[in-house]
Amino acid sequence: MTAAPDAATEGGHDSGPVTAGMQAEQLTTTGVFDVLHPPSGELIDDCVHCGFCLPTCPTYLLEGNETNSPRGRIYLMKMGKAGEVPMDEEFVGNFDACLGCMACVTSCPSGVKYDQLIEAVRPQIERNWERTRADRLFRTMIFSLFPYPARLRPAAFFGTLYQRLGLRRLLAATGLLARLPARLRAMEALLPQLSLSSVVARQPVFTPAVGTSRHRVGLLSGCVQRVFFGDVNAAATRVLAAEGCDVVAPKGQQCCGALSSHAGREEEAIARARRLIDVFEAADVQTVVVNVAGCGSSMKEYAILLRDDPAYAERAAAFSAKVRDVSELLAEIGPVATRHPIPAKVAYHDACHLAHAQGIRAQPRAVLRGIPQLSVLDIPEAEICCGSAGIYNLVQPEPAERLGRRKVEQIVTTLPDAVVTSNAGCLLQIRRYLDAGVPLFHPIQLVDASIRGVDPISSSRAVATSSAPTASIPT
Amino acid sequence: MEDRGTVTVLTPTDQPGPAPETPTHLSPPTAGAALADQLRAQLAPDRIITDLTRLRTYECDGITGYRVVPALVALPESTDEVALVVAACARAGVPYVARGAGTGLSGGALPVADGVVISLARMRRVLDVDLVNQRMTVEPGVTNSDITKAVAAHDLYFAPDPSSQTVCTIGGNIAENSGGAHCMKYGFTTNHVHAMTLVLPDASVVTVGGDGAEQVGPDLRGAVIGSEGTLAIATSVTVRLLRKPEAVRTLVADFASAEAAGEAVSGIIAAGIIPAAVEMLDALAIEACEAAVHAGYSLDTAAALVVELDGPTAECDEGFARVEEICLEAGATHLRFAADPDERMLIWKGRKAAFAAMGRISPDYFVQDGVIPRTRLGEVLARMQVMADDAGLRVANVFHAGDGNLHPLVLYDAAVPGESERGEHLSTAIAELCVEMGGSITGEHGVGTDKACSMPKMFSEDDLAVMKRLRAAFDPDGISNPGKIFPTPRLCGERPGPYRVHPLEAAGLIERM
Amino acid sequence: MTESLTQPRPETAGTGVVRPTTVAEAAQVLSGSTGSVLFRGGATQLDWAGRVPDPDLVVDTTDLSGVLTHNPGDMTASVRAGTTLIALQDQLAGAGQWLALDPPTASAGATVGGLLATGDSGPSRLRYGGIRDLVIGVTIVLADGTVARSGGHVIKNVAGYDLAKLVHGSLGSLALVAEVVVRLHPLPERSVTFTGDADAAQATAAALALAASPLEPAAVEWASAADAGRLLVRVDGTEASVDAAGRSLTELLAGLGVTLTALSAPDATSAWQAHAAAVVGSDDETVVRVAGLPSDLADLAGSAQDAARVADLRVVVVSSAALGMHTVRLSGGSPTGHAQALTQLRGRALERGASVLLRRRSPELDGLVEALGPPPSSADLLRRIKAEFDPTGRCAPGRFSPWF
Ligand SMILES: Cc1cc2nc3c(=O)[nH]c(=O)nc-3n(C[C@H](O)[C@H](O)[C@H](O)COP(=O)(O)OP(=O)(O)OC[C@H]3O[C@@H](n4cnc5c(N)ncnc54)[C@H](O)[C@@H]3O)c2cc1C
Ligand code: SF4
Ligand code: SF4
Repeated sequence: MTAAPDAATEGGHDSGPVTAGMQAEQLTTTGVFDVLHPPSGELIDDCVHCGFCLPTCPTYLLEGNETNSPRGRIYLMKMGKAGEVPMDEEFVGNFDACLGCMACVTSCPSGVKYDQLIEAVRPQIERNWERTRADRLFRTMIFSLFPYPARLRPAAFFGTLYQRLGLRRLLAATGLLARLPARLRAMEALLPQLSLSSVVARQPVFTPAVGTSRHRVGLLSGCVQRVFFGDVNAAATRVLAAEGCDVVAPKGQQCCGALSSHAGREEEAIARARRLIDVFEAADVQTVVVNVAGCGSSMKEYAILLRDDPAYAERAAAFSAKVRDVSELLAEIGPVATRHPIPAKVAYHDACHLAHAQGIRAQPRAVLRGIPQLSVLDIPEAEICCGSAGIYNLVQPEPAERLGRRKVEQIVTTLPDAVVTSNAGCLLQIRRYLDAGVPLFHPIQLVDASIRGVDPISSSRAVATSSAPTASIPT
Repeated sequence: MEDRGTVTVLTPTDQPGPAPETPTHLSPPTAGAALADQLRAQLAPDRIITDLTRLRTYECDGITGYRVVPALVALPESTDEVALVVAACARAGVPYVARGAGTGLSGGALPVADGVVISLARMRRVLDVDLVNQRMTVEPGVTNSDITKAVAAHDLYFAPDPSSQTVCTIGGNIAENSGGAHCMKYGFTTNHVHAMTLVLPDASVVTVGGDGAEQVGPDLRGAVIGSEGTLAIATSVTVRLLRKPEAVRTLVADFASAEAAGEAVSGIIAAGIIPAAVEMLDALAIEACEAAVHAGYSLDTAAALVVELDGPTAECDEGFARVEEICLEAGATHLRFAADPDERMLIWKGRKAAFAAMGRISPDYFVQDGVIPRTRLGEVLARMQVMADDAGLRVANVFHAGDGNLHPLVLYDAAVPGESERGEHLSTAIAELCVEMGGSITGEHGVGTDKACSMPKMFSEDDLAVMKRLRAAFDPDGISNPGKIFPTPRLCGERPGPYRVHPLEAAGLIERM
Repeated sequence: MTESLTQPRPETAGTGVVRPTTVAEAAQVLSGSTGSVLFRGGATQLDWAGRVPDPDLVVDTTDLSGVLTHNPGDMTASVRAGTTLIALQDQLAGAGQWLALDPPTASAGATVGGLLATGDSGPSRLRYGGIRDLVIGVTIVLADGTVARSGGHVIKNVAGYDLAKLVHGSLGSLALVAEVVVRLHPLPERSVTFTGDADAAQATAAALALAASPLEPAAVEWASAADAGRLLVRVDGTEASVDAAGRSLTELLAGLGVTLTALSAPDATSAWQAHAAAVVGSDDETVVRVAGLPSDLADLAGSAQDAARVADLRVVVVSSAALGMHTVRLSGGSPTGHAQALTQLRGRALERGASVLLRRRSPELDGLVEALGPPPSSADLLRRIKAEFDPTGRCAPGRFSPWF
């Protein structure tokens, strides 16, 4: 009385419906997966096929297609593992389409660890599936650009010039923009309008606590973040210092590997993880603070990523245990610096990698509510991803755009003065579809402003008609 | 994945038997391919799925024990498109099965081999909201919760509340006549639908029901609701909305035994109180729910009752005080009152996660869905315990205690040889015990594939024959969800025992209808 | 209740009347006979939706009566179809329960089976639902004598098709209702009726306001009168809750210009009796039932008045205002006037999406106007069902003409 694939995996009795292409010999193997950590049968079996995860899955929301749902994906893992379906275009396409937003992890009453399952499947696909040349090139391009601040900075600089010089408008007017391939167009459109100060900002290696030091923290300065959102790192550093933390931003830190790991580029991710652990061990900090949700969730999973590496397994676990989102840390240590009022209503958008992957929902709201006269609004359909999801909006531009528009439609129903979210990707994605008059912030930017006694929201309102950049993510 | 069905895996050659369940003259194996080409030409290509990889994910619904791979899946986006797919099926003589969210627990949306699955998941628009007359028209793929969400700001809601409400669709609710914890007071889906647009198996589109509370002629809307997709596909549904009650009071009462809890329920009913909901959980069920949701149920109690009253404040408060007394009289060991809407939501979240949370305490389980006259609860629980002991298995119990709808969850481990068979037998025996007690084999999950073989325990051959006449009027060729509800020799083998007059019935003491 | 209602209609020469006492007997009668057959209960509403001319056989359920089971703890009861509602209520009252149904024909001896076949209901439908919502099991006998049951004795049950719904409103055209199982409600501790003058527009506003409020009245009825009309509102509940609800609804309706006063118990009883009689009407009247959106009350009442005025008839409109169900009674004038008014009213109501059922009319009207309006989109399906259940067409021929 068991689902056939189950029986098949365990070499048990009767198999499922006999279908073309299904090979009996495969039934005792790991099917379409290789033996290197295929998705765990036990984790797969935790799924009771109840469907409770369907309504929170963004791809199911878009497609209304069982395959493109968490339940469908888990089912396919099971089928794949039993060798009942081939690793074909449909199979791969279905997992590529997954945003990795982990909304399904939150909504599952059975506690299915889809995060671990999908992270097991992605490297399998990278190893065992031949992507088309164009796909390969594009992915390589992303991974040779985004994780490298040094490369990204000039690119962004030129990007900024390109924007400033009105080249974008020119391209659009000549219709050339429309002729760029969809994925490049997506990249082009995502480019935030940067303030040059943010692009050239450099992070000091050590910032001492204001007053007596009560904590020594290491700050992940990030890759994409460091370039596009230098302002956020600066704000985080000021706030942490004001709250009594010595802040170390170790030199030599690079990308944490989140993008690679979410895309199944495991080798790359592992190398980056090892390197980051080395760097922070040397910095000798109590806590590693991250202000990008995606990076934080990845770093909290180093323990799993490096479980097979005898030299790193233990160190990785110790490292992961020290990682905190900046709002998480602030909520933990409590405020000491005085906050000044910011009279405004802000809509708080839960970044998937914070809310679903790390279960952090209350802390950022609490930190924001610590600002006098600031009210925090919840957005309808909060559990649905905005479509950013790592490199998703680059490799799957069309669904990403539909999700982005849908998210913004929900955001505007709350009539906010500003929108706040804790992830670089979400900021970029939402900025793209949100009315330019509504500023976007990372929560830490508002805390910083509040401590410094400036009100970025009404000042941005005041200048909304002019194009001058503001302290916020420049609009 | 857990299985909550029977071991049966239906292969293409093992399809349910004779007419009207299956069109005998029809559907050569290649019909699917020809149909796919034709439908792709008529609908957008992204509406049709034929690759095996994706088809496999449609092979089962909420119970994975029954699996059949369909020939194709269609994802129509309007009534016209549904009619078009049905017309193509009718012409080609290919059977089809409607599918909502696939949360059904009786294998109702199980595909037919070489047949078509018509998924309504893309039809999820709200078509009309009439706040003044408190009704709303939606497409069939709209989820039960989304109906309420759309009008919650106006203090209105859709009353039927299956535990799966965040996922399951109104189309599925119609097909199964779904109810929920609150149906004791508020009734089932059939009590909350004004009108439906249906696509019949001959592809004609008809409206049943209407604006008025009364319609002329036989109640077709009522006949179709609960027919498990065998009579028609609903493509738009006008539902009745209720005004939110002025007050809601919820308590959780712990008891030292399920019998004591049962006594409290009887006391409440005898006092002339109709609670909005009375749910009972036993220790095992509580353990699972707590593991999943941390709703604050006591872990050290044999049974807990969730009692909810709602209505005008004065009435509600008065009744609630009585309920509290009655629970204490019946020996409640602990009472917990929901202090605010959040705590109330949490209590319900715990209860509603019960089935899915079983995965936390057992590798596999069967969900049963029998109904008994509530007054025989003690007797049934005792019998069930003996049966479980005999089978050497654990049974967790969650049930809608107010209306006698039991959901015994038979826990087993498929990895232990023989356990799944014992589990299946125990689960079936429990359903049939319910019939023996004057109840029913299903209170809300439907007959589907899973219980078709138990139908003869409840109904005579003539009863079933007359029901089939109704089916023949709608679907003479038997192409709409064949193989469900009615037992077939192929599916049931020798199993369906003949309907026999129960000794008590013969003696005129009970009656079975 | 008028006298004529309690009198069974005299049978014509060729008609045989049988009075089976059990389901088996009823089955035998049907399997052992041919020719047209009319099923008859309390004979209170025999002519709805078309008359059955000269049936060869009348199966009278008067003796197919009696309460079979009553399980107070489970709040269910089963009865033979010919049991009158009054008899059932009498028996249930002992246990503090009732079948929450108060159709206007109750006092004239309406039977439970007949009520299911007509689908008739009364003011309490607002709170407790109609008979379709209260029946949980049924035994029917088909034209060929086949006995079939569906549903059961438990409130919650989804096994098999719901044949009770199919015969609901079928007016004897598909099968004989032989036994019925119902769910019961506790008798309310207290019931208070309020009344106040209101015209159709005020009644509409009041009904909608009450529906939008959390007050949950048990009944909201309106009847037209020479001077505008009168509203009847009933609240069921406990001693305390009824008082609280009474205060709130009086206040609510005062805001709409309707002044409510509470009736004493005897006054309430006679007010409801008069109200029921106003729904039933008499043999020489044309009685039409219109059901539509609650917000259309004033419009439909206006249409009825217009239609009557044009044909020079007297008109009374009695409404279950919050449910959108209206009974229109036309009297006086000529048969052609009635036919003309009926056609006009029906046209207008159908335009508004309402359903229209012709309940009573004098025989002179039969040749002048169809009993039913244009067939609905489901007419073909209804004919197929009729053909499956009654292949020879012997059950109530003429009923639902011209749809069937
Ligand atoms: C964890 C869990 C808890 C549950 N709790 C409850 C509960 O408390 N109460 C309850 O009643 N049920 C419950 N269910 C069962 C299930 O959710 C309901 O039966 C639900 O109504 C099914 O809806 P669906 O959209 O998933 O339909 P599906 O499973 O997709 O289909 C069910 C049936 O409906 C038919 N169908 C679907 N759409 C249409 C349509 N548009 N027109 C015609 N036929 C159609 C299908 O052919 C099939 O026969 C539960 C299920 C789960 C997994
Ligand atoms: S909610 Fe969890 S158990 Fe249910 S189908 Fe989704 S992953 Fe599986
Ligand atoms: S991670 Fe997000 S996109 Fe992927 S299956 Fe889960 S909910 Fe869907």
